[in-house]
Amino acid sequence: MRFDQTIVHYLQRHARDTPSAPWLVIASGARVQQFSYADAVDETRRMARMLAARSIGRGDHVFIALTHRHEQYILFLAALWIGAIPTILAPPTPKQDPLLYWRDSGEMIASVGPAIIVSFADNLSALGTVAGATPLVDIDTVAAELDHPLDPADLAEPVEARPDDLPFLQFSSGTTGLRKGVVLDHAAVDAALSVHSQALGLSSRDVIATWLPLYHDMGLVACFLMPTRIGAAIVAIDAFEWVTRPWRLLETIEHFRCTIAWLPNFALQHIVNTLPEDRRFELSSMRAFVSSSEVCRPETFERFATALAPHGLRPDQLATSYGMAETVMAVTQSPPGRAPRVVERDGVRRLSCGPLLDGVGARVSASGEIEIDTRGNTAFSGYFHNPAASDETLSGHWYRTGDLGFIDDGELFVTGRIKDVLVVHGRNYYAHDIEAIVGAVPGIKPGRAVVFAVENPEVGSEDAICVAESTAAHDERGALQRAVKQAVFDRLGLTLRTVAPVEPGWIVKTTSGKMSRAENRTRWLARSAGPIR
Amino acid sequence: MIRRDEVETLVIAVVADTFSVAPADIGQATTAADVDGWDSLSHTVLMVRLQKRLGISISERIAARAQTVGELVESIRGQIPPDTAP
Repeated sequence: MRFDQTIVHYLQRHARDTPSAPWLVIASGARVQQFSYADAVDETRRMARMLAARSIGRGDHVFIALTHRHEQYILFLAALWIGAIPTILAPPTPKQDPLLYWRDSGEMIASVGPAIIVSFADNLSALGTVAGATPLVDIDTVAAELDHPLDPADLAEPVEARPDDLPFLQFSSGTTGLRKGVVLDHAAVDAALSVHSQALGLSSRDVIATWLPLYHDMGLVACFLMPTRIGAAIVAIDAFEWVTRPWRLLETIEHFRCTIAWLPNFALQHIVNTLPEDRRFELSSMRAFVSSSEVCRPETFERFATALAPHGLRPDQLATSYGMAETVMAVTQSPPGRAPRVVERDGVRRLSCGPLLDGVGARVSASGEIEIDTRGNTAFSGYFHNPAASDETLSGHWYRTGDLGFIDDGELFVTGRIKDVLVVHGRNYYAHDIEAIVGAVPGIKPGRAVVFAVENPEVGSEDAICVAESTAAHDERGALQRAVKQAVFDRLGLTLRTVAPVEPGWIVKTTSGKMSRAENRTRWLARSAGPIR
Repeated sequence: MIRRDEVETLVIAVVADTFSVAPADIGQATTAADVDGWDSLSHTVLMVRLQKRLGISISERIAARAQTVGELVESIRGQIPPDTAP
């Protein structure tokens, strides 16, 4: 069956119908590059020609590890154009050791077997140590190929796709074995983006402001694929620039008259914590700041609304959404133009994530876990080459999210989670992963480290706390704490808030030798009022 | 305008306040990794507070290069004109 509803088919139609409509603005410092929908197709075909010249085609995997630049978007589209399967990988930050960073990716690369990895010069030698025989391409060395004029016949049409083709692979963060690639299909992605767009009232007149990297599902799906599908405009700023100057997002909104921005909860708080006192931002163009990808907290919404009220922000310009890569992106979306409801349960105020999207089935199990019906629009069929992880999360056609919540008056509320995952600054980390890294640091007793999350309302996210048994002398502890923080940061990009060395025997294990993170967390919280020794 | 010889005390006070630690626990050799909660996000919050408290603008490039509190103090001092002789 021929399927012409992939992202690149939509892209081609927009380029034909509204060629000069703005598609992408890439802002980096004072530098701004703008691309129309016609430019997007032109650039995509050039990039597709570069891939095809390397014998890459239908069903091949294309790995992309780039920083904030338009070629990230173009490569993704070019892969789709020729029927290949793109994956966006996060490159290491300048503060991470690239060799340590990539070390964990060898197994994943071998398991997928990409036909090419496109990255940048500073990164390629480290990547080469784990890429085996995979061809590596430096994006800056193919500029001449890309500049070469296009023949009208050169890859004029995207290749035919099938509805059940794998459209792209998104990998969860993590180290060896725990990185999971989410298997979806083209038809599911199209259906999911269609219902989510309807719930948002998204149209080609919308302008999306984003700082989210494309390796984040919200950055990829909500801030790139969904607007491209509908013919809207994207204005993207660099995530690193946003961290040091969060108000850049507000400047961007004001300058480009943006209408929608997706932000994890912590990002709203980060804007509040750093808002310049001597500036006013014009935000009336905004239809919705959509909070998603970590628990949406009512107090954060209230602080954001209060701090930005002098800038004309109204509470009805705030919205929420709940979802994950396994559900393409969203399960729920609160309607723009109405502040999400706050409901009190068991003495805790909870913010609504909105009603379920059309066609999405969800239920809350007896244990309080949110489960999603994969027969609906998501069609999540498991993890790439990882039957064990698939079996663990799929029971029949129900996908077990590992999140806890309740449904009140047709709206979903998320209250916590049972999976051993920490969500820090909108990114997920497996507790096992962090513990394994900590356990390998000299001075820590192997297998005697526990990591858990503690909510931090001042940051609007979770803090990662590590308690580890050590026999290090008191005056060696500072160095040990630094070594543990550095090891975790190099491998995962996560900064542990606290590393607490404790005496051997402090950590509680069950009689079967299993670590109880909840129990150790309770023990640590009880002790943390005083010194931990 | 703040005087150069006030910078160290003020920086330590703002660091201590931002990360809820005692000023006595912050010294010239203190690094971000020594202080609970000092990550790239809270570093931005710290810079915003320092600029407000010191009444100067701190170059991001210089601030990012500082590895210790002592280096941060030095880089800020370098951005303040020398004290005028009495």
